[in-house]
Amino acid sequence: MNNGMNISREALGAKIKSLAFAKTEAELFLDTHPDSRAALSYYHEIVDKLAELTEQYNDMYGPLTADASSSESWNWIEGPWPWQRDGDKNTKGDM
Amino acid sequence: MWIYEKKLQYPVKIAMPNARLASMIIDALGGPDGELGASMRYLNQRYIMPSDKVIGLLTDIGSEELGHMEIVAAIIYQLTRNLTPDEIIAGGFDKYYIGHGDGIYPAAASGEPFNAFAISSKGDAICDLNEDLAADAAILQEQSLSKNRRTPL
Repeated sequence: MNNGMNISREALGAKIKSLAFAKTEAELFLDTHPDSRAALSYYHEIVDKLAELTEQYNDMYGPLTADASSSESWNWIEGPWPWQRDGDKNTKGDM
Repeated sequence: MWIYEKKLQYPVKIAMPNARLASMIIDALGGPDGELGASMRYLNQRYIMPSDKVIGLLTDIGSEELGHMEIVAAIIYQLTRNLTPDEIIAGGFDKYYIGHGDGIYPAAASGEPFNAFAISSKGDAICDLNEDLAADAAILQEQSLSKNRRTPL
């Protein structure tokens, strides 16, 4: 696994999104198959991996959740927000 | 209780704005089979479900649908970036635009604002779960229609 600190926001975000998608689908499966040991073990494997990458993302590119905001400054509100793209008229500065 | 994660469940990157497409895709946000209806359907139906399994399932599906709502909103947002007045009119987006501008407003493609009449919560688990099946079948039908009858937009 590439744990290097040179991974781009987009690449790291894509890894996180794919793990998070697997996590959500495993949750739905477990809701109706709570006794499946295999699903439970798969789920926790994903959760651990996701926590590791989420921490890396928070450190490199800013918080994915408000409680991961920096102790130095409230960087939770800093863009880009997930729907924004470069050049959007409202991605820079205050309203 | 919900906690926001600053990411889309699936990324949206639209290079070319398209008012015509936006005027149709809005149906997936605020139409009768859209994501707002889907999330409200599951999240409001769960309270009377007779088993913990089903309560858990509807809670988690409803939460995921909120994420889908955000994906569709992001699609509309990006499809309508920097449109000129001519593009808005040519794409048939003018009727939406006059009332909502660049804002995201949950409405059907027909212009009807989102209406909770599109969902059921009958206090009866069998009724509600059948409605859920019908709603998902409606989405499948829309997807297969758009696949089989592909016409120029």
